[in-house]
Amino acid sequence: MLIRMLILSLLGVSGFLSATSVSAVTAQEQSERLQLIYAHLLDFRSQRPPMAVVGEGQEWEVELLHRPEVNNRIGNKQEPVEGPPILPRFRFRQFFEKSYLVGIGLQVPVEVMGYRYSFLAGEVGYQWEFKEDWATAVRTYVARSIINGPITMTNAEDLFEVQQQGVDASLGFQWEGWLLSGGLGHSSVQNKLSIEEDGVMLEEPATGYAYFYGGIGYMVQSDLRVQFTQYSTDSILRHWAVSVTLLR
Amino acid sequence: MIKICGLFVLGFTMLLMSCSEADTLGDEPPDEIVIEGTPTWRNGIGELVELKCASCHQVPASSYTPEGTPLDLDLRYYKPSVGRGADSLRFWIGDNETEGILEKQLGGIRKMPLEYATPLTDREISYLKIWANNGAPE
Repeated sequence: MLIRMLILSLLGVSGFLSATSVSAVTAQEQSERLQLIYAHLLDFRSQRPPMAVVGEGQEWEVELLHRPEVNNRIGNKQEPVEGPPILPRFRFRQFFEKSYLVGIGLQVPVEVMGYRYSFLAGEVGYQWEFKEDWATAVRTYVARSIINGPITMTNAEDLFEVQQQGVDASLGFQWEGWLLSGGLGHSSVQNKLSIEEDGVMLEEPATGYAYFYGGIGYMVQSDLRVQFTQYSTDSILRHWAVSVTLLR
Repeated sequence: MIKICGLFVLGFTMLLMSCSEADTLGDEPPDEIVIEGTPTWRNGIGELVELKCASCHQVPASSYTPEGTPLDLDLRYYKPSVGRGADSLRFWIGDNETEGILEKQLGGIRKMPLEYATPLTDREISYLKIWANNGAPE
């Protein structure tokens, strides 16, 4: 988008000598940015510290993603649209031989504040304890999200669909009950926004982006973990997530 | 007791670390095209129409062209080799009774631009009306 804005501004300067133009912010660019932010927010991140001590078994998790304030102005629209500040997800992970991971994430489409958020994702991964109390993990995933609701205008029934796939790697350190972790990942995303009001379909081609994160967790009990993770994506979105995980 | 202290520290750390913000372009209004002298297609109108109209009105239609948009209208060009071009706008945006689509709905055709398109400023509308009333000169 930056490249396109640069090209537009160059065209503006060179095209018409008596017309004043600067880098243009168009409704398209506002829409593209808004779509990217939502797509980044809905990505299926790890939210799990590589743990030096883990056994075969399962993890049952509730994950809460914080949605930051979003100015969803596009074009002439001025009215703010309030959305739910928290997006919940349920996650399940199954471990094999202490190292291999297969997991799913889902959100059943329950309507909250006029929004109906559906989510389904799958992940596979591997973790490796390379030193006492130190572990690393790699993971790949695919995810699909659908939001129905007033994304662009109050009372509208817009439809936002996101398809994602990506990989990430993380490093974790365990100190008594504390779990420190950090990682980075790359995801590709394709999304489309159907604006009910104008019958407009804003479809974005697949684009890739990198993200990184840091987290701190605590084993409240031997089978109960709380985790906080701060994510940063493409310098246009920062958000946090918390999770509570039951280990079995 | 240690666990309670640990949880307190964790909560405090989370509070300090938490950062949640999205850098949208929603705070930035679209830029205004300013034309000096008489508006013509080559003097500002072409740039204005291409930036704020042609994103939807082009042939073939773009992915964000709304349903029901005329498929033969290409506003990237004054007179395209095929179909209608920007010169035909003089029948839509002038001051005659049957015109004025920038200010009102005309028959079954909605006011332009649509709400989710890049808006025109009052000054840009006046440029377009002057241009149309002058016969939409190239």
